[in-house]
Formats: sequence, structure tokens, C-alpha cells
Amino acid sequence: MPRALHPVAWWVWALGLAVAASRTTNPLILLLFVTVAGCVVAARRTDAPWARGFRVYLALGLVIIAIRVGFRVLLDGQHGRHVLFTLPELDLPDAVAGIRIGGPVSLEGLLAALYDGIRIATLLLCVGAANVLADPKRLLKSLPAALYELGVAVTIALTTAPQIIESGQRIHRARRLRLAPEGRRPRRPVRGVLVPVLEDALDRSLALAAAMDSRGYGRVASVPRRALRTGRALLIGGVCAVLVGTYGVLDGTAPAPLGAPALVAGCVLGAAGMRLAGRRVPRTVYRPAPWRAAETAVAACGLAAAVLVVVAEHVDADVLFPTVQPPRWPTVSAIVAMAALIGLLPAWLAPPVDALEATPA
Amino acid sequence: MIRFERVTVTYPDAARPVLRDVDLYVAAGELCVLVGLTGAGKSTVLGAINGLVPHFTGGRLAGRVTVAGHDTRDHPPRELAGLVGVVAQDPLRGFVTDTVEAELAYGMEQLGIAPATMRKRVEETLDLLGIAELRERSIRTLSGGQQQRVAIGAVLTAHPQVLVLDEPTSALDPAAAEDVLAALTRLVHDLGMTVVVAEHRLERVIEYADRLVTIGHDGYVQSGLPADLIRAADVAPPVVRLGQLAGWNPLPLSVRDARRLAPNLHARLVDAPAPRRGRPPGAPAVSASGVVVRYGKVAAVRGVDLVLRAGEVVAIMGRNGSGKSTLLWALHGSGRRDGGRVVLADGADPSRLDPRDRTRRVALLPQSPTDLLFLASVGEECALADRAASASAGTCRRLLDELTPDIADGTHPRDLSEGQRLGLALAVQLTPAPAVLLLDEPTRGLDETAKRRLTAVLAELAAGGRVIAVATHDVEFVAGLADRVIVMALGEVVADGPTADVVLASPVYAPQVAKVLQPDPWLTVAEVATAIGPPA
Amino acid sequence: MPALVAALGLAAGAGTRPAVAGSPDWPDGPCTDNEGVTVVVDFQELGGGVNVRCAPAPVASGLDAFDRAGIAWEGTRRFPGFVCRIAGLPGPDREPCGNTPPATAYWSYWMAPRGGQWCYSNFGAGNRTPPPGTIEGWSFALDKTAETVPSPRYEPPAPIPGQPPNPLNPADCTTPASSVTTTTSTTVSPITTVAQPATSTTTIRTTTTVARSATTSTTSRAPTTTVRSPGTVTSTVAAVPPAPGGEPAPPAGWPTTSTLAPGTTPRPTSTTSTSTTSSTSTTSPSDPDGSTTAPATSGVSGRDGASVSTVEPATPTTLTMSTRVPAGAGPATSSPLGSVDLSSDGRGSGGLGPATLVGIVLVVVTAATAGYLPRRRRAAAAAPLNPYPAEPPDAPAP
Repeated sequence: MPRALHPVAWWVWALGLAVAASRTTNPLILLLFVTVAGCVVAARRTDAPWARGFRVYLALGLVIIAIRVGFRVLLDGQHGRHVLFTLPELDLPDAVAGIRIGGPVSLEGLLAALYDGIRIATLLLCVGAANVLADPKRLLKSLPAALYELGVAVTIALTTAPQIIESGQRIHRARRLRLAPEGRRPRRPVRGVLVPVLEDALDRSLALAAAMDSRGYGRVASVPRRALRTGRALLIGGVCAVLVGTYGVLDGTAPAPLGAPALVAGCVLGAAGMRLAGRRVPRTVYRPAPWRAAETAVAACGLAAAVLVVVAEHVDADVLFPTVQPPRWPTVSAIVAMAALIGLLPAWLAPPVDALEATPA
Repeated sequence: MIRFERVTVTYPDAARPVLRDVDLYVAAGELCVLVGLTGAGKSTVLGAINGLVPHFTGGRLAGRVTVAGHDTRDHPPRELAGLVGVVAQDPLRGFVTDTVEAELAYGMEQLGIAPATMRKRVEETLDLLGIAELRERSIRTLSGGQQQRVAIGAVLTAHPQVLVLDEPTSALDPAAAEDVLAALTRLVHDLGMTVVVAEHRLERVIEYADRLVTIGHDGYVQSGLPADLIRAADVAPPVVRLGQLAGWNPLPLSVRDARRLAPNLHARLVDAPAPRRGRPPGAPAVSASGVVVRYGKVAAVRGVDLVLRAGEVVAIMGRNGSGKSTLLWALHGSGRRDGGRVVLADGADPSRLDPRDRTRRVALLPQSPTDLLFLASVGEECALADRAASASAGTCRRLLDELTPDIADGTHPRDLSEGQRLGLALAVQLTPAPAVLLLDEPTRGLDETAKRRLTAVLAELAAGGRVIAVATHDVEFVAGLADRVIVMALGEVVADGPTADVVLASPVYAPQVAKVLQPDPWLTVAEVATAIGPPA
Repeated sequence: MPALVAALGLAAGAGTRPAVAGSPDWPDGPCTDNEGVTVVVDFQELGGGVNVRCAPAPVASGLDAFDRAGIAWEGTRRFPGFVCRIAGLPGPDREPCGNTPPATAYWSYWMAPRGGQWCYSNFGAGNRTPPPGTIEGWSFALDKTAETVPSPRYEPPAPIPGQPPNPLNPADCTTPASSVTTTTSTTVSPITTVAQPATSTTTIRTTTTVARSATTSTTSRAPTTTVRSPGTVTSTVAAVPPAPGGEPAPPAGWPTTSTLAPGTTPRPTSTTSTSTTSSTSTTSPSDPDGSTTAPATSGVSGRDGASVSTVEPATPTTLTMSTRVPAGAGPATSSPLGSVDLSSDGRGSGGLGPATLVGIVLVVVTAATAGYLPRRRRAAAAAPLNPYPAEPPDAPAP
């Protein structure tokens, strides 16, 4: 039965792929992840206007790679046996003796930059795939109730931003209808356009606020005080635990309980606190996206890909990090190939999308 | 259903209360129409019903407002959301989401209604308002009438008992306005909703009203049956004025009623001289041939040929989206023009002129005149306009006083009413004394007094030799002012001729007087008055 | 671009073997001329002992020395100029060579002139050109602190008879705090007359030479002459403050019999003075003891005269020992040469193998599927979703 998958499932899949991609610099593997993401996007994206942007992400990825390689060509003075060409070198003062502009450009340096750039581009494309597959508005709707107001603010910003641009264009056009004083360039062009746009935006936001107020936005369900206090305490405690846990994970010398366990505990506490806090918001969701087996399967695929790559790091480290000095052809191992192909499964596991499902409310 | 008891409302920093001692009762299932001049307090009354005044706007409300037994003092607007639905003046500013279906469901989501019920109600509302085929559309791509209906639907899904609308048809062309009003009357008659509407253009709505509330500019309010109150009201539709003129009793509120009483008026008018319309055309001031304007793949204006002569007032009418605005901008020269020629009186092409020169010859007033105003006070705007046009100081101020008197120099332009802002923008544009004046929808949001004043000023300018082109929907305004009417559709000129010819031939664009007195070619009450002569 | 062609040739074929045209086998052992650069690789805890090879001239950099000596090495992926593996050690399981290795397990880079002492390099191997005839050393530092990094357990070979050894570039390394160096540091002081340096250096030189001759039985005559050139020794001991270079901190002081306080780097001072006595020592170059040279006593002081006296070049052996870091670094003399094949890194050739081809095939297949799917969808698509055309921006359509 054709339907749109829950947006959170797509995001979990995409973030799993991104985590997997971030743990390797092997261009073959990274390209495999990219093409896998592209396959899933091609198979399961809708026809809505926001769903057509994958090509933009691809272009952006290429730009990132080009910038990275360009910087390496210009700035990096890494030794490499195979010098491809030599740029004229700029003399810099001794104070910045560590930096070298120009000079010989080596194959090894280029390869290193290329691998790095491909990795960043892959991360970007994973996020882009999630954006294209999951309706951002529905994602905002799936936020927990405690973050509801935040989601509304973001939704409204997305909706009204084009209107602000339109009003800016209109006002700019109208500015040309008035004269500027003799002999001077149009004075205060910024003021002439910016001030009316801001005033317009203020009027518009007041009107919107009145409309939302009249439609019942901001109603608060009555929740017993104790529950509220508990919720707040849980939230604060959870945040503190997450902070401590993050520090513990990043600092190798911290005692073990301060690391991952604190992080996990903090997340659990935070989730519980958000649940309690969310009871204050008495809103329902129109046509909520169901979470069924397909969602779990898709999310599991992403997580499995990440786990497999982490395992491969221990087993096949040199496959994940091909050397550039000396340059070697990158290889692919069984575990990593399996990780990528598991990431491809959602192209079948996710239910197909039919045209009418493009923009469900 | 709605009860106001001795309500006095004073806004913060206001010298006088906006409403004084208002006593009002609206029974369940009534259609109540609010009339009054701009700034008189119509929006305040509407806001007080739902609690926006004073919870949202601030100010002091003395007295009591109860809706279905709930006192607005104890309930902020969001708690009354299930009871009162409010549709604001500009519905586009009140939309939270961007698709029709999501917008319809939004109100119900806030009220915490079960998903199954929500689903059912959305489908019902789509059918009720006739917008079912629009459900997946983005709201910004809809027409004005469709947007208005979606806005009504969005508050309807919450099943309120009271519906409050602030000038729902002011921005709509006649056909779309008819659609919206039909929907409203269906709500009243079929669903038994209580509907409170504030409207300037009474001629469309007064025949359906069960109750009329007039708000005087001193803040006092009178409420009663339309037929009783309309006699003494400041604002009245042409049918009523005609009835007053002809001495009909009871005063007709609709064209149909008036036609029944019309025969004796016909008799009186049989021998009257034909109304003198139009001025002898002067030299061509603006000649356009084959004007084409394209936006991407869509051609907004396709090959329009047009000649505007000095001393003429030309009205350009047509549906929203037929290209009226685009044509005006192309004639002005600062808008896009992809083909064709536009030539001014001395042979210059306005698009190639230096902006300074251009402003001295052609002036354009855009759809929202506020876009032109960016300084902090009326005085500063006028001073800048004088300086820019190298006119003597005080020119702009003089023009402003002619158009809208009683505006202090220190007022911030955004604090003025719609009509006053229009007046200020017009004064600013007229300061360099251009020979050609183009106006894009000037009558939106204007009350009758302001409209009368604008008509007078424009007629005077035309008599002075300028050429004026106005793009508008307002049929009565056109009937009272224009010498010539051009009707556009799909970017082409469909009709072009003297007002009487074009307007009388079409049921959509015919003014009320013409509809009453057809087939005789009378357009306005003033013409009839002139023909009848001084009252006997 | 010949380099590119060479690179592709490399890529297609042999892997890590450096493409030095017509390279023969590289025999173990230091260079026998004063042109080539000797490369010493001490695997320390990694196992494999000390291995020495000669990189024939011309050698452009420390990394080039590897290539010309036929030593397989790998840089980190991020910074390909940072040496991470030599002959495949440490292996991928220990060090993935993604980012620079940690300071607890890395290859430390040393240099020495012929007949001189090991000296910790201030620059990376790619950023300096080793003077011809000098010695490069690589020693794996496992869990060492800045003070205890071990130099390679190999005595820098003696200068070639008849050819003055080239000194190291003064900027290239931080002086190890040995007695020898302190003495010579005085020579750098501007105030002291030139004459004195000559004498003191002469003295020292003699002693070392003598010591050397004790172990390697080379003639001790010639060195005196060479020593006279004042420039030579000073360069070895130029007490430059450690230059910034991102290198792990060099051992700040070498615990030696000279009581330069550990942690201090000897600085050129104006106290030279009493090295006049040293002149006496010149008289006995061939004295096997060399102990009469009391040079150290005089001008040795790095900073305070007291410490000077403790330096006693009396026993040549002591002298030589003081140049080594005693902190558990290894035996005083060179260890026997190891037997690692420096040319291989145990990973096989890096050519275009089946694993790579499989990877490429997978990428191509998925990309083709991704490109084909939208076409199939379009063919099967129904009427466009939105039957209403876009409105002109000026006003909405009816």
C-alpha cells in the first residue's frame, strides 16, 4: 500500500549512513555510500517541489571537493614523491614560516585532499538524502510535544520567509517610483527598503499572532504541579548527565562511569522529562504518520550500516584508511560492502510512494 | 449569543475612547453587518467579541462582553477558539501552514480534537465551501477569493458558533466577492451560524443582513434592523441613496426590491436630458502599441494597444490576474516590458527616461501605498517630496490637505488609516506635477467618504488636463468617475469604450443604479439627481 | 608531465617500490663516501633492531633519503609528509595512520654529522635537506617522554679519511646536552676570541677522535688537521633554542657527567675564558688517553664555571658514553645490525587488485540503478500532480 514513510525513520537511516561514512576515508566506499543513497532517493522520493533537490546537494558536494583540493593545491607544502606540477611560490615572512603558498603539488597531497573532500561531500549527501525523502514539515510535526512551540516557530519561519522576500521585492520596486533629492544618489537606500520591510514584517507577525491566538494556539492543559516539577527536574538532570557524559567520552582519562553510561543515562532522563513536560501541550496531530514495521526496518538498516563499519574499523583498518604516501589503490572488503548494501535495502523495504501522497498534511 | 453591556474601549495612549457605552445584542443565527467610517471602531467591536481586545491589543475595556454565556474578561482568545472563529482582513497574513488541507486542520489540532474527527470535518468543510479540488494546493498560489474561502474554512473546522469577518470582500473582484458572500449566507441559513461581518461595500451584503450596527465616529453605536437604520447612516449603498432620492418607502436594500419600486422613477426620467458624460478628448498623452510583458513562460500582457488622452479618466477593469497591474507598470516605464512601444506626449519612451525625468511626467501609485512611505513622520515625507521634486516647500502639504485633511505633521505614516495613507502617498507622487497619473487599486480599504473625496480630487486633476488611469474593481467608483472603461482578460483588452457602453453591457460590471433602472442608461445617483432636478 | 607518468606507472604496477631508475639492491651498512646520506632505522620496541642503509647522492630531503635508500615508508593519510610507518612497522593494527601518531608512539627523527653526536631534528623529514655525508636516524619512541626519547642505537660513523665531514645545518637540530657540546657552545660566544675556540675545539676533537680510534681503530692523526677549521665544530654544537616545528619536545637535557642541569639547553655564553689551558692539550693528539686535555675544565661551562670542571674528557670512553642518553636507551655502543628488509612493508604491492575492481563495479552498478530509476518512474507517472499552472507573480490567477 503506497504511503509516505515516517520522516524520523528516514533520518535515522541517513544518519546511520553518515556515521558509517565518517569513519572511513576510502573513496570507493564513500562513493558506494553516495550511490546507495542516490538509489534510495531515486526509488522512494515523492514529486513534491522540496523533494527535487538532490541534484543541488550533488552539485554542492562537488563544490566542496573542488574547494578542498584547491586549498591543498595552493597552500599545502606536503612532501610527495610524485610531483605533478609546481606553482610559483610566494615568499612569506618568517613569522608564518609554517605556511607555504604555492610550491610543488604532489599526487599524494592531492589524493589526501580528494579523500577528505569526498568524505565531507558524502556526509552532506547523506543529510541531503534525508531532506529529500522526508517532508520537513512532517518532521517538525513529529517533534515531541515538549518541543512543539519550537517546531511551530520553525514552520512559520519556513512559511513566511518567502513572503518577506516578496515584500522586499515589492518595496524595492516601489522605491523607484519616488525621486531622490536633486544631485544626490538615492540616499538611504538601505533605510528606504529595509525599514518598510521590517515594519511590514512586524505588522505581519502581529497579524499572524492574533490569528493564531484566535485559533487556540497556546492552550495549556492542566497538569498537576508535581508532575511538572518532576518533569523539569528530570530534564535538568538529563542535560547535566549528557554534559558530563560527553566530557567523559571525549576525555580519555576520565573514570569509566563518567563516559558512555552517563551519556546514556542522560538521554533516558531527558526523554522522560520531555515526555512529562509534553503533557502540557494538548494538541493532536492531523493524519499522524504511523510507525510500522517498514519504519523499524529502514531505521535498522541505517544503524546496521554504522555498526558494521565500526566493526570493520577494528578488523580491516587499512581498508578503511587507504594510504596516500605511497599512493595505493583503495580496496573494498566484505564487511564494508555489506554495510553499504544494507544501506541500500530501504529502496525496497520502504513502501512505494504514489503521486497523490506528495504533500500530506 | 453575543451581548455587549455598556462597553467602553480605550486604547493605550489614546485621547478618546474608541467605543463608548456600546449596548449590543446579536441573537443566535443572525447575520449582523457592521458599518462605519474607517477608524470608527469596527475592528474594535469585532476584536472585542473574541477577546482580542483587550487581551491581545492592550487597552482598557469597561463593561462586559459575553459570548454564549462566556465572559471575555475571564477567557483569553485561545480559550474561546472553539466558540468564535475570526477571519482577519488580510487572510494571507493569518495562514500558518502552506497547504490548504494543513491549514484546515490546524485549528482543530490546537483544540486537541481526535484525528478521526479531524479527518471527517476537513472533508465536510472542503465540500461546504466548494474548495475540494484545492486540497493539495499551496495557499500562496490561490486566487483572492479562494484564499478567503480557505480562511473561512480554516476557522469553520473548529465548529464555532460565531463567525467574525473583517472586510472579507474588500480585495476581491465582484465575482469572487459573490462567491464568498454566497458561502456566508449558506452558513447562516443552513448551519444556523451567527455571523458578524464588517464591510465597506454595503451594496453586496446589506440585503442579506438581519441586523445592522452603525458605529459613529464619536464611538457611539446604534443597532437595529437594516431597513430602519440605513436611513440615517453615514454609509449607504447606492440603492438606498436612490431610494432616498426618489422618496421610496420602505427603503429598498437590494436591487430586486428597488426594481419593484422603480417604475415611477422611470416615468420621471423619461423626458430628462441624457446625462452628460465624459470630456472632449485632448491630445494623446500616452500611446501604447503591442505591449507584451512576460513572466517566465507566462505572458501577463499580450499585445495591448492603448491610447490615453489628456483630460481623460480611464478605468481598467478585469479579474484578478488579468494583467491590469502589469499593464500599468509597463505604461509607467519602471515595470517590465518585453515587447511593444510606449510613447509619451512628446515622443519619449518612459522606460528609457532618467528616473528623475520620468517622475515629473508619469506617476504611479502602487497597490499598497505604504510601500512608498519609509520615513518616520508625515512632515518628513512631505519635505522629502518637496526637495526631490524641486517644488516650493509646502506643495506636498497643500496637496495632502486637499486629499485628507486633519493629519498632523508628526504622525507616523503607519499610524494613519488606509485612506489617509493613500492620501499621503498620492500627495507625494503628485508633488512633481506629473501629466500622467496611474493608480493601481486605490479604493481598497477606503470608506465612502474617502472615496468621494478621492473621486473629487481625481476629477479635478483630469479637468486640469492630466490623464488618469485607474485599475480597480469598484464598480460604483468607476461609474462615478471614469470617462472610459477598458476591460482586460488574460492579458488582452476585451472591451474598450465610454463608460456607459462597457459597463451597461455587462451584468458583472454594472452599477446598482444601472441594474435598478435598466434599460435606461443611468449610472450613478448623482446623474439621476441632476436629471430629476431639485426636489419638488 | 613525467612525474605524473611515473606516478601512474607506479600505481599500475609495483606498489611501494620507489621508482628510482635502475635501482640495484641496497647493501646494509653506512655510506662509504662523503656524498651519500646514511639512513639508520632503529625499531626499538617494535622488534627488528637497528638497520643501516646508504642513500646515494643527491638527496633532496629526509624523505627523499628513504626513497633513494630503497626504504619503504608510509606517511599519514591526512598529512602525507609525516612519517608514520617504516618498512610496514608499526602495523595497521597498532596505528591506522589516519592522523598524526600520538606522542607515545611515533618515529623520532635524528641527525648527526660524521663522527658527531645524534641530535634531535627541529624540522620534519620533508622540510630539510641533509648535507651530503651526514647521517639520518629514525628511532621509534614508545611511551617516552620528551626527555627520554631514545636516539638510534648506532654510533654515527667516523669521517672519511681525507674528506672533511660536512657539518649539519645549525638550524636543524637542538643541541644534545653532552660535555662536548657544552664546550663547543662557548665557542659560539661573540666575545671570546676566535683563537680560543680553535684550541678548545681542537682539544675536544682530538679526544673524540682518540676515543673513536679506540673503538674503530682508525688513525688519529688526520683529525687534528681537520679540526683546525673553526667552523666545523661550532656547527655541531650550535646551541639554538628549539625551533617551533610541531615536533615533540626534544630531550631538554642529557644526563651526562657534565652537570648541566637537566632541562636546560646550553646557551651561548660569554664565558669562555679559561680555555687557554686547553691549548696545552693540543700537544697530545695521539695520546691514546687524551686525558691530558683539560679543555673541558676550562671553557666547558655552559653557564656557570663550576659545572665546567666536572666535564672530564679524561677517558675517551666516558666521553663517548656521555653522548648517549643513558636513560634505558640501550647499550653504549652500536647494537648489532638488525635484519629487517627495509624495502618491504609486508603489505604486498598496491596495484589494481580484485578487491578494488569489485569496489569499482559495485559503485558503477548502483550509480546506474540510481540513474535508471527516475526514468522508469517518469514513464510510469500519471498526470502531473498540480493541474493548475503557476500564476504570474503580479496577481493571482482566477
